[in-house]
Amino acid sequence: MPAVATVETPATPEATRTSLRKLRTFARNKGALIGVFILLFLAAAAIFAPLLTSYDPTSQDLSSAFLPPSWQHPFGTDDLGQDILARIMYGGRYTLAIGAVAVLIAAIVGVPLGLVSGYAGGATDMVIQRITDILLSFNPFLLALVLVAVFGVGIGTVTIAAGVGVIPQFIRLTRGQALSLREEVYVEAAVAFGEGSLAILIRHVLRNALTPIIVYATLNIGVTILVAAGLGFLGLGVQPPTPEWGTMLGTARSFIFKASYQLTFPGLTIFLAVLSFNLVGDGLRDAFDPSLRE
Amino acid sequence: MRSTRAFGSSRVPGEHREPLLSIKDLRVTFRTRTESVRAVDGVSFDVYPGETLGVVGESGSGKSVTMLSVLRLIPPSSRVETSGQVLFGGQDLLQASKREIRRIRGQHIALIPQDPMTCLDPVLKVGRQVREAIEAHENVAAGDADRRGVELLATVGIPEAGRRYAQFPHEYSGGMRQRVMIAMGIANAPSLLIADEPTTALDVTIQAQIMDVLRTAQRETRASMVLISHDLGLIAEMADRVAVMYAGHVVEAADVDTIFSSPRHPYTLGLIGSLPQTTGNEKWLRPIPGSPPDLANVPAGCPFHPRCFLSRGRAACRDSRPELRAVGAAEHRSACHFAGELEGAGVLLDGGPHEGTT
Amino acid sequence: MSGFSSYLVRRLAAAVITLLGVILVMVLLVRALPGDAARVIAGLQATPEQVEQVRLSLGLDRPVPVQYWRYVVNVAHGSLGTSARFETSVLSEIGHRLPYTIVLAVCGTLFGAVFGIALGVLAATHKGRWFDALGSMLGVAGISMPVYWLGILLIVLFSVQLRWLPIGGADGLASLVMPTITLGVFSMAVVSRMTRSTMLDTLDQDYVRTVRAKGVAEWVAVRHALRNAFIPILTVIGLQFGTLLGGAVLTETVFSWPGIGQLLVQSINNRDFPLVQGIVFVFAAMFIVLNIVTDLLYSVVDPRVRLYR
Repeated sequence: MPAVATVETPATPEATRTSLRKLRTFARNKGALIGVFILLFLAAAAIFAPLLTSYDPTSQDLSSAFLPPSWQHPFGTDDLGQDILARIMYGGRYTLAIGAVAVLIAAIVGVPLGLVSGYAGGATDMVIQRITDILLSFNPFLLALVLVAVFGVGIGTVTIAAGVGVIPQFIRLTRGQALSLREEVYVEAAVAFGEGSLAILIRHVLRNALTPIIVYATLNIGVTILVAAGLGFLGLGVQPPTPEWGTMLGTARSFIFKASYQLTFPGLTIFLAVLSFNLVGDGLRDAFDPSLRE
Repeated sequence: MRSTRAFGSSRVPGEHREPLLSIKDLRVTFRTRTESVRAVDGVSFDVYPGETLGVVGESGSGKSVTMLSVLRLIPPSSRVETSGQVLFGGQDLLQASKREIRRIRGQHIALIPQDPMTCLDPVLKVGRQVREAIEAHENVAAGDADRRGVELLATVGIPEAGRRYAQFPHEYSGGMRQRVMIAMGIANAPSLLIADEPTTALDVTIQAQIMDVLRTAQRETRASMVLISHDLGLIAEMADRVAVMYAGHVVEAADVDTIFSSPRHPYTLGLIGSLPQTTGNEKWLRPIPGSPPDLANVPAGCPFHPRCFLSRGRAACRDSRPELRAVGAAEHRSACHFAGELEGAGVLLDGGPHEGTT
Repeated sequence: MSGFSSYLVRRLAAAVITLLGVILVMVLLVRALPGDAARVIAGLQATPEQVEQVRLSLGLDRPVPVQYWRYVVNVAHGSLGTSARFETSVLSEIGHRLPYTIVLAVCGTLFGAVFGIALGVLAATHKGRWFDALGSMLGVAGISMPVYWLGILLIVLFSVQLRWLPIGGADGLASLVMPTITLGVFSMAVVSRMTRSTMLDTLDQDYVRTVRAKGVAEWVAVRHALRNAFIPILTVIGLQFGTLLGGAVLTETVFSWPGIGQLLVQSINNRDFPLVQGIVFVFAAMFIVLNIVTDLLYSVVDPRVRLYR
């Protein structure tokens, strides 16, 4: 096959300068910085949990159940004598991971679908659009609830269920990008040079869409975390004794009179995690692509 | 022409009158995060009772901002710094309290804004909005206000005023909306009307009608008018005196005959000269070379010097900003170091718009 | 047929199609149940005869299209099947509890709308000042707050500690307070953000400047702006209702509020799939109806909008 000239959008010094400027804008956003710090803090606590605490999050010791916060147990102990702080730290692994993987799944499914839908047009587009509409007529949480009802509880189902709810977001996003990029001159030029459609899609469209996808992903991790934790709270998510934050909150609810301190911390961490993702996502969006503000 | 001019300004030379509105050294700067834009940079002029003052200039010359600042109507989202004085009715409007300004707006000084298509609230009936102008300053019963509103619409020439009163803005044409703006402006018989580009957004065929409406309105209310426009023909027809603005400064001011017959500023000359000639043997348009300066980075010295044919690179033009000084006749002022060199220049323009316009 | 009626008919037709799609999804999901669906639904204690009965009554022995068609026909006749657990009609089970959910959802939406708009307008008119900054912080916090945590915190504060309000249940107005707040906070945050940005946009418009030029008080100008800003705000409020329905499930659980949200959780735990199907169907229908109502409201708010073209 003869060498075909490919049409590239080169990474000019101009482009790098713009990126740096956008990064500075991001850095100037106080909220976004706070979000980054909280995130790092939570992530560090989750990753380095074994180093930070000597307690085993799942070992039960009924003799030390319901101990209020103290030096030994900064967050107290729960109904099974487990140290709450330890469970929170280990729990971060679950909650954060579920949120991130769920969004990843949604992106992996949604981005190609959206690209195909926008680029191909016609019947394919219509079909995918109908599916998106039906998905959208469900609240992400309700959708996840139904999926869990059918396919059972457990960490795998929860993750997938949480991800399914936000797939439409990615489909819409990339479809829009594909539609507008279809008209771009350099795409037409690439077609004229004989590049295959797939290569065009991947190279040009993805590169432009990458930033909005990242922004959307960040903003939607908050949603998936809330969905997963919500399922856990209802007892339909990750099952005890796994220390997922929502699940912890759910079990703590029975002891609202006896040990109200048990309720504060898991909820607080969920809140902080979602808050930080929202702050960072907002900051990214404002810095890199303000046009995404609805 | 002269006979159709509104409310004659027969002034006896040397007679001293009290100005109705006196703007002194007005400066308006817009601050964004990255730069400061000097939209109005030291503007002073007066408006006398009963006269029409034409303010001419290109887009960006600061003419609209000047008059909007008089009523303190710059949008709240802009970060604006204003200095100087705007004297009206014995007080400085820039320092007046919010209540004072509200009292003056619509009642003593009325604005007829620029773009009739966007100046009416799209979700309310027109009549309601006209009524609002009346009710802002008078305690009238709704029924009376409505009646007056319908009369106003009729005065500005809207057919079937009663029916139209109850319609929405999107059911009006551009020309009719402009008439509504005029109606709202004269609703309370203000002593000063500010008409900001009243015909710019309209068809040529409608323009003449609208100007008639304005003329009638002014005559009936005996108001002064500040007519802002970049249309020299309009100014020639309507104004008694003219102030020419460029890059936030007034560069020349005189009565209308003088401005067109013997301009003493290269920019004014350029403006007049760039008008298409219907007489004479000119084949090409003569625009002023270059483009207006970036108001965030105004050059030192005379703001016009980069484009000026008279300057010829002389140091004075580059280094010092010319003051608005008397040249020739007493009331004729120009801000040019070398205004004297332009004496008699008006004769060079064969058949200016002065004779050509209808 | 007048323009309006034909528009209405078209919208309803689209709604029906979407609902049919929802039913299809539900039916497919039940079929996708791992293991024997009929056995799961009948319960572990069921005898083989009972399991067969369930299988027949739900049409699980037939191919999917038949099952689907039977369900649709039933719905058209006003029946949503029989609850496996309660042995009463799904419709009556839902019917008993639906009003509670509607009341809660409406109150939550109103709470969110009223306070959201108020906060948004205040933030926009005081842009750049401390109120604005505070408002946007509260806004971000509001959308990050897990509904159930907020509910629990409120219970701990107002029921356990202060003993001002009842812990749960649905007797009397006092028991409506905390669920409404819990449900409404998220909506309030979203609405206030939207209101602020739309207001900032409209306050700069030419017609607002005209209003000011007439010499009226500032609040009159703000009112003009708000009236125009209402359309996108209305969109958001309408969209929020969908989120609210999801939040209702959690809120009703936290406060033991006897609505269909709580019923949904119970029926999932009971593997009572007919009931689950019925509730999901009702949720979807509510959401779709709400969309139509919101669109109709547009034509009231904005005289330029003519829905029928």
